[in-house]
Amino acid sequence: MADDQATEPGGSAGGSDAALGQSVSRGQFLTKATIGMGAVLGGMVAVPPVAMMLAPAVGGQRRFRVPALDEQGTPIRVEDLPVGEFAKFVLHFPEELPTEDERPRDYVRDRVGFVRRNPEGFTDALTGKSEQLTLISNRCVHLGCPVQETGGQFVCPCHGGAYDGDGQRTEGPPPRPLDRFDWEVGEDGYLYVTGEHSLTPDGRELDSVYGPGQPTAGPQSLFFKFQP
Amino acid sequence: MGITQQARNAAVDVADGIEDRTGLIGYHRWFLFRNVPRGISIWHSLGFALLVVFVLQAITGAILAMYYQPAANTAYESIVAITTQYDWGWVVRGMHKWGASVMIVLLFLHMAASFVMGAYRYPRELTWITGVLIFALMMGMGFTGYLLVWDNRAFWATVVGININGTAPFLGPYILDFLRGGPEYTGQIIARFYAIHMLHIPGALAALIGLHIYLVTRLGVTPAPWKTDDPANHPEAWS
Amino acid sequence: MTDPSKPLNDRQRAFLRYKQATKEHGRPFFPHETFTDTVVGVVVVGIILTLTVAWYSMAGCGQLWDISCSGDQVLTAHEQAVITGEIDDEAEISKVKAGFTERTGREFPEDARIVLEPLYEEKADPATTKYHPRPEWYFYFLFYLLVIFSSPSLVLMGTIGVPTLMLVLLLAWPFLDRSRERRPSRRPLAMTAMVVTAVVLLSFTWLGAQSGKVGGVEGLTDEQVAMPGYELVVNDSRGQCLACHMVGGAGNSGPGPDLSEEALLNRGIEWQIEHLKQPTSQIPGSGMPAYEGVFSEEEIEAVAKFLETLGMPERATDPEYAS
Repeated sequence: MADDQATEPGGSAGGSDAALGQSVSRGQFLTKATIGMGAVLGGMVAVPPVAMMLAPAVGGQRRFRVPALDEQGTPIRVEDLPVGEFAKFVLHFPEELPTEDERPRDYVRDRVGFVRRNPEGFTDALTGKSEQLTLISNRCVHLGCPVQETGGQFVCPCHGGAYDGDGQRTEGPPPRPLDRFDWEVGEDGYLYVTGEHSLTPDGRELDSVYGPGQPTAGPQSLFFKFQP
Repeated sequence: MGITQQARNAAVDVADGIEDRTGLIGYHRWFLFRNVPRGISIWHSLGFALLVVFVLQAITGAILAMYYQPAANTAYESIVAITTQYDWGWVVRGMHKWGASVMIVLLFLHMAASFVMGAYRYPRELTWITGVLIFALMMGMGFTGYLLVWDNRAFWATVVGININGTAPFLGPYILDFLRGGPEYTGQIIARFYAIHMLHIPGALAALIGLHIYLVTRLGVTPAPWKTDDPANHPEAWS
Repeated sequence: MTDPSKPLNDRQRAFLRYKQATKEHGRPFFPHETFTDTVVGVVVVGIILTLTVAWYSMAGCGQLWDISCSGDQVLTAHEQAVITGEIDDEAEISKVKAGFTERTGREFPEDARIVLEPLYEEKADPATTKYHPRPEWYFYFLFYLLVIFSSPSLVLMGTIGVPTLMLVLLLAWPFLDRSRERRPSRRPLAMTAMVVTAVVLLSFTWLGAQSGKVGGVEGLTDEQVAMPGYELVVNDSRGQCLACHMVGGAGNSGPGPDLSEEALLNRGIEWQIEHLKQPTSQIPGSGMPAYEGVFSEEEIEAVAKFLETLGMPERATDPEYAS
């Protein structure tokens, strides 16, 4: 047991070994060699599985191109959208449409957003841009609960976050505006979503999408400057 | 010599043979045949109760794993089948589910009792620290196990929980992608949480629990300080 | 081991004294203490089995202690949601009840109650916009921290800061409190810290359980529940009132005020109507969304009348409010 006081002669060289001179360096060499080879052995065993485990953490941002679907699962044509109002859309991944015998629920990657077709001469109060469409993600930027659209504004059911029609925070804990989806209108007139990005509270559009709860401005944003 | 006597002798021979080769029976005696202070109360049994529940969780979990199918299209369906279709399914799932809740309550009580009795003082600091680590890992077990049911509550509670981890300074964005298994929530996350819940955390827990029990046996039990008739409890013997 | 040539310090000597006294005067661990341990073990596993049976019988078979159902006789997630009150659309309820009778040949358990928890909710739907997420009960205290730190600059305190600090404090505690005294009565600081922690944990767990509860508005009279405004405030997915307000113990405790006693503020129906249509017209700087165009004129009036009965249930039968 641990109470045993027996001292082991191995490891460091004892007094009698010291007298032999040469075997001291041999003992020291073997000690170092054991540690060195042990590290090599450990690395050979551990590096591949640990690398595989951690690989998703440095996978980078996703780029995709998926059609925006309405709640019935039909692709949305931009010209069918009502002007000045939000419509809910769903994104299914993988990137092709589900076939008839696949239930849409089999896709875990479903994402939801809200699209508004802006009237002529519209300027986004948050970004200052005049774009045909505004696509807002329904992922609350506090902690990721699904926000709900009500009267052209957004409320989060979890911790009382609230946003205006451009996704700017009006109440509660969210540290930045709601994320936006990147979009394009296909030659067929359908709406495609191609990516996602976050915004700063003063309306600057960032390259990547931050995790919920991560501030994009102010001193605390330094914690999250590096995104995978 | 009667047959029972013969059987007993044979058993002793076998035990001696095992002891001769392994020394394990000596450890077993070291663990069982020791004295504990007289100032002991029911609060000192919480640790054993936790061990019992841990073993119960390990056994029920190992059996549930034989029926559970960790993929997006099958996880929820297999949970429903375990609960409604398979014989004893609801009992084993219920024991695992409620075992988790009871365990958390016991953990808090065990920690509170150790705190009140001052059981974290010299030389038992490491016992306390391993205990706190066990507590943290148990919360991790609760978090990863909760997702596996794959109902709405499991999914959304996990989304919020993962995002909480994602707000850790500097590491947050990477932890987020690590836990999700990528930049989005996919079926990946079930297999990931299943592996963490089944293998990674339980492995660490088993090692820590072993160390914890070894330390308790080696350092002895702290008597309740208000049981003043126990000589082991005299303030002079307070380390 | 420590160097045997070094003299023992006070702590080491005291520990030796403890060891000695235990050896001489202690009780054998086996079988005396192991007996108590096994009794406690039996009680604990008994509690687990009892909870299991209570849980399955209530949520699965619809009757406490009745475990005779299995297979398709067991209540589905949807049927359990009817019992818990999560589904409260009358048409949907009667459809579910008819479906249950058709499938099982039994009457739907009308008076069933799910005190513990459902067996499961419906399958995870990442595309839902109606779901209200809640954690397992033992994470309620962390959940409530998020409610407390509800200003954007403090979010990280609630998610990472305070929990990490608590864990570090727990780990470091043996090195922070190094006195030798073990009697609780002579460790006022440690005991105060412990009691405060216990009270905070228990109350946060309780408050977390209350915060954001769905389908559990309490303290309303039948007349109030029958008012058209009730549905609009409590269940309507356009309104989402409970995302920001509490009513009768349900809903979120912020950012909007608790509406449970709104009538006592004597604002009047007209004020409520104007406020609902355009909140900033009545309360400058209000962050509440405007409901003009979300609800129809009649619906806004119904909501206003319902709000004016909260805390004054006798008004629900008054024609001025009831119609």
